[in-house]
Amino acid sequence: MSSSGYGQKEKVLSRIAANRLQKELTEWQVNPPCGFRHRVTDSLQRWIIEVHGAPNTLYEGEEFHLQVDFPEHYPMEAPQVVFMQIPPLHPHIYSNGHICLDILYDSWSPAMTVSSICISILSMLSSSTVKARPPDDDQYVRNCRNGRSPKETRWWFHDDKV
Amino acid sequence: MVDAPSSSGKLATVTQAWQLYVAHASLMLRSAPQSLSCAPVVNSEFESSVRALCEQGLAHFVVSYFLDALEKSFKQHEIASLWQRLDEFSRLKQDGANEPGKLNEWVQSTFPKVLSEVSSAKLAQEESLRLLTQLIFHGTSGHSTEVERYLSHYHTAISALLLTSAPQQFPEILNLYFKARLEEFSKAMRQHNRSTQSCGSEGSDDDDVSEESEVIKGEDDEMESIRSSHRTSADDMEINDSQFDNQKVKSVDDTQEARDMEGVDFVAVSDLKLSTGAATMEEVAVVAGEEWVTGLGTVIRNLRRIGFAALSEEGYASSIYSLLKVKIHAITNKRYDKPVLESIRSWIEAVPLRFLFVILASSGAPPSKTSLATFPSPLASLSIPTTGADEAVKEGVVRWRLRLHFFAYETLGDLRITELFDIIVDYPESLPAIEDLRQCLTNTRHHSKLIDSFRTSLRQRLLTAGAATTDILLQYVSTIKALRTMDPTGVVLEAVSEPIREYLRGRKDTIRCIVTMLTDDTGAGGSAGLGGVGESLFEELSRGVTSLENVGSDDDADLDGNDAWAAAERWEPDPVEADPSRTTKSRRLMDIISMLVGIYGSKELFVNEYRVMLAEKLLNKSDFDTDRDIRTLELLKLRFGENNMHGCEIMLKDLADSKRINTNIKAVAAAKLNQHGPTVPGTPSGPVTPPSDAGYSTPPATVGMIDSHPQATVIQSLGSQNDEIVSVDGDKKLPLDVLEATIISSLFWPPFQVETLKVPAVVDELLEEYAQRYHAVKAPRKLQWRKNLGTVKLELQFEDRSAQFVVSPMHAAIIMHFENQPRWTATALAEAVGLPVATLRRRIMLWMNQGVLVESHNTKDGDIEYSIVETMGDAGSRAGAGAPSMDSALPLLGDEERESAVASMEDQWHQEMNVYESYVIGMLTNFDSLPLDRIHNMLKMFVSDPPYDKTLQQLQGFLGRLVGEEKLEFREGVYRRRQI
Amino acid sequence: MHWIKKNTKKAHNTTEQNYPQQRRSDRHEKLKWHAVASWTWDAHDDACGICRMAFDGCCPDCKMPGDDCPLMWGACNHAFHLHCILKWVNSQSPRPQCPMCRRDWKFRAE
Repeated sequence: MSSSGYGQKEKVLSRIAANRLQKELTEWQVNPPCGFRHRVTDSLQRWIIEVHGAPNTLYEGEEFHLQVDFPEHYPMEAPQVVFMQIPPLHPHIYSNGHICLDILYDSWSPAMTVSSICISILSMLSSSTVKARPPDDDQYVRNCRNGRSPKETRWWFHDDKV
Repeated sequence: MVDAPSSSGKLATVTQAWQLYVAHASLMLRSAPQSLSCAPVVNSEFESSVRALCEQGLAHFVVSYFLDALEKSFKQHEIASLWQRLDEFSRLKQDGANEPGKLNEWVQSTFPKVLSEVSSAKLAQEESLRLLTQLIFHGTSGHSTEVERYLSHYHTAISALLLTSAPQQFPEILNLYFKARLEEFSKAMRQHNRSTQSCGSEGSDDDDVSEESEVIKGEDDEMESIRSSHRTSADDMEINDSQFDNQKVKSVDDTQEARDMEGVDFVAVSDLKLSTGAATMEEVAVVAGEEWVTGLGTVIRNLRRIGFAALSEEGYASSIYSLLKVKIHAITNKRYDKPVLESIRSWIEAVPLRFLFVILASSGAPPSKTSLATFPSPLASLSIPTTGADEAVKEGVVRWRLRLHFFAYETLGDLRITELFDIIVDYPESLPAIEDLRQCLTNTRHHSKLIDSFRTSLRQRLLTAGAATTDILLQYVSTIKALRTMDPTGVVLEAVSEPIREYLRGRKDTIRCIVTMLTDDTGAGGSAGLGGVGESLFEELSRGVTSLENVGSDDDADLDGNDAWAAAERWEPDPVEADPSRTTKSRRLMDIISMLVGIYGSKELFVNEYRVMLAEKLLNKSDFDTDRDIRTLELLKLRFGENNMHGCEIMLKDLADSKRINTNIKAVAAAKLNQHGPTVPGTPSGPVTPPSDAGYSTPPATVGMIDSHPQATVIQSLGSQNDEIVSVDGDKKLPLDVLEATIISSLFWPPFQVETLKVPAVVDELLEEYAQRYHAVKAPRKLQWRKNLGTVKLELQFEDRSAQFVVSPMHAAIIMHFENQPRWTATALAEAVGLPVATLRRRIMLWMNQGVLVESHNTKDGDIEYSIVETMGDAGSRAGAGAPSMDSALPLLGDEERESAVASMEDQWHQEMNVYESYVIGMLTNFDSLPLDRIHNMLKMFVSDPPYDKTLQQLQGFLGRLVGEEKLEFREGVYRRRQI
Repeated sequence: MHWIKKNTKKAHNTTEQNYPQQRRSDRHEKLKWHAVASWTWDAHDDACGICRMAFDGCCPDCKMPGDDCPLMWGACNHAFHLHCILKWVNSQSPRPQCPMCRRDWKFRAE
């Protein structure tokens, strides 16, 4: 799990964050987003989520794992979401698991939830027409060697589709 | 020396000597019994014959013959006569039914005589044996040991003879004898005490003074004897009834005994520490008389001499024990408010130990004969001899003290154990008894006995359908308190509380009762017998400092430094009865509230129930006074943590806010009124009573419903005058002052029962107006009315009476419809108030019970019709009618039939769980039988609306209920559908 | 029958009409309707989009609902707990957006 090092600088969840995550978790258990499974851990601050490729898409039958780390001031700040090894082959997903998706960074809104993030990621996967790494994959991954968080990257988002 | 030729001569000599010896010996033996005191005459002939025989090496033979002869003679004469005398006892006993006095007398006077005769006979025989042996062994090396050997041989033989041939009643006689002696002494001691007491502090050790007290004692004796003559007759009757039942005889005049016993400590403390032997003897002699002492001493000595030491010990021991037992039973006699153990100890010191002292002193160190063989006895050391005789007696007394104390602990302990239930009922008045019991248990370790016994009485007396839950809780609280005092380790408490807790868990109203008891310090509403219960628990709540939050923490882990050290020093192992799964600390820390709350294993349930009850209470309030509830809540917060009580805090704040908002809204309304329509000038400041006041009590000529129409008109006209708003019904708009509202933050209140009540239009308008004003003040917030909640105070005026009521809005709505229309069919009325007909018919009972409405069957369409009882008529004396009572005293009517407005925790829970019933039944139809965890997992998998989020335990409880409802059955670890 | 008792104790005769003022002033003392209502912010939604706590409850920072923890509406008509939206808006300056619709956030004028 190469991505496990990202969480180091995170502080303990604030009460607000913990409160909200508890609610989200309960809601998730009641009504989980289709194609996802929350892997039960004792940590509220880091969720591991199984992603099942949707039927009739390039990723049908494949299973991936998302790691979601929540900052102290969630939901005022976005969570850090990365794919654990091995990430899906996708033009917006780097081989180190980082995901190029605007809502995870600049376009984050506190009204979003883990569930809505998951749905966005699944729709990103589902709408892909080609299984490939981003063109700048090697370079980006090299830059991130020191264990940089994707949230420290300056992203520019190519397009809304793929 | 011995030549063959002379052997025949020798034989002749020996034969001659032997014949001589035998003749003299038998002579000696025969004379012995008669000449008791004087030593047997030893003539030279006998002496020489013995010498001659000894010279022939026949010493052993000589002695054996003599011993044999002694035995034979003893058997023939002494034993025969002894048993003959004892037969008198049997005869007397048979006649005893008529003359118990004679029997007693025999035991007291003849028996000692008989004993002393036997004893003297034996003494004489012993003496002759001693003479013989001394004669034989005189001058030989092992002289004295040989003598001793034969003496002891003799002694054993005689003892064996006596013991094997002793008649059955002998122990009984001994028993009676000692019992009588002991009682005499006890009585004497009592009189002595009394006289000493009456002497007061003047008493000194001076002989003269004791003479004086003797005189006083004499007088006392007179009194005593008068009393005892009474008593004797009573005794006689007792004896008639129950042949020599020790206890019964003694139990006469218990209270007297008990009183006397209490007096004992005084003596015990003052001068009863058995000091030196002589002093004690003297003391006893002073108390009981020289004669008594000598008599007893002689009997003991004689018994001992004839080898009955062990038997006699049995005798006096059993009489002491039985008297002690009687004393204990008498003194304790169902009273728990005084400590008795100390008195018992004093009494042991004063009576039995002194009695024993005399016995031990007489038997242990006989002044003349010091060289008797030892006899089997637990007090063996006593018979060791001379030098330390005093010491030995003392030691014996010490041993006896321990034995008697233990016996007392055991007896008192067992007695108190059987009474424990009643003792706890009397708590805290019974604290002295509990302290006594504690001391007893420390010595006897009969904890498990206590647990068994108490559990049994709980089952029989408390945990039954007939006991009110409050009573059970009350007794439980007392049990906790009492057992805490008695057994600080908490082990006993734990063992006996489990059945109580188990039982209480099965009662539906347990939590509710606990909450009531905890929060209700007024005791109002409780039954009369339980006055102060709430108070004590409320106090308990106020006292509690240990927050429940900490109870979970294990043992002494949270201590450090000195505390930890001190804790380690204090440590004591738990008794064997302890449940190892609990830590010592958790046992000790639990206070009463925690124990009560812990009945359900979780404080959440308790907190929820409290919330429900608080909600109900607050919603039924017609004022906004919550001071008391706030105080209670603060205490509960300390105990259960602020977070858990958060909802309750908001509820109370809602009440306070409502009060303020009410005032605001009314102030605004009043201001508006003043602005727009100033009140009609000339409004009287005080009510002007019209002159025809008396008309009230006189029923008007026109009666019935016709009359109500003009009234409606009156109101209407009033209304139009007043506020220019006339409702569709023709009713006038009510002033805002009529309405008060409790405005709640519904998310923090328990869920409410939903009811679709339609309130009368006039009220509805009022509510609407109020809501608008609220919105104006608190925008953008809005109000949503819970029309079925709240209380309504109203006064009904009839033609011949008026009455005030405080009722629920529904009842108010129902009755208010009758103003404009005195007769309603059930269907129409149900429609009007928005209730199902069945509900309406149930609720309307209140008004029928109050004599306001009557029910009749409409013949036309079969519907039920209700109509107003305008005049009471002949039934006019009905309670409540025509007597408007003080507002504050008005009870909220209909409480008993009214379902609680707030869904109880249990209701909520059942509602939630019921959803799963069909799933479970379906599963068990498909699978036939399933274990608990499979059902749990399958529910988790299949049930998503609402999602299944229960714990295994919750499911188990639910399935248990289905089993109880005979829908399922549970066998061999699996659930099945119940086959019908 | 009357459910309002008049102080005149004259249930029904014409003299009542002579004392209308007096009766009006007394009647409400005889009827006291103590009603129960619950308040709501009426926010057309159950929970705050930011903290996910009920509007009629309070935000995670508050203990008491109602006056102590008011709601705030944006020009876009999305409502949040005041404390929640202020936190977001302050962290997003200079151009905060509505968490729900991403329109520029402006407080709705009352």
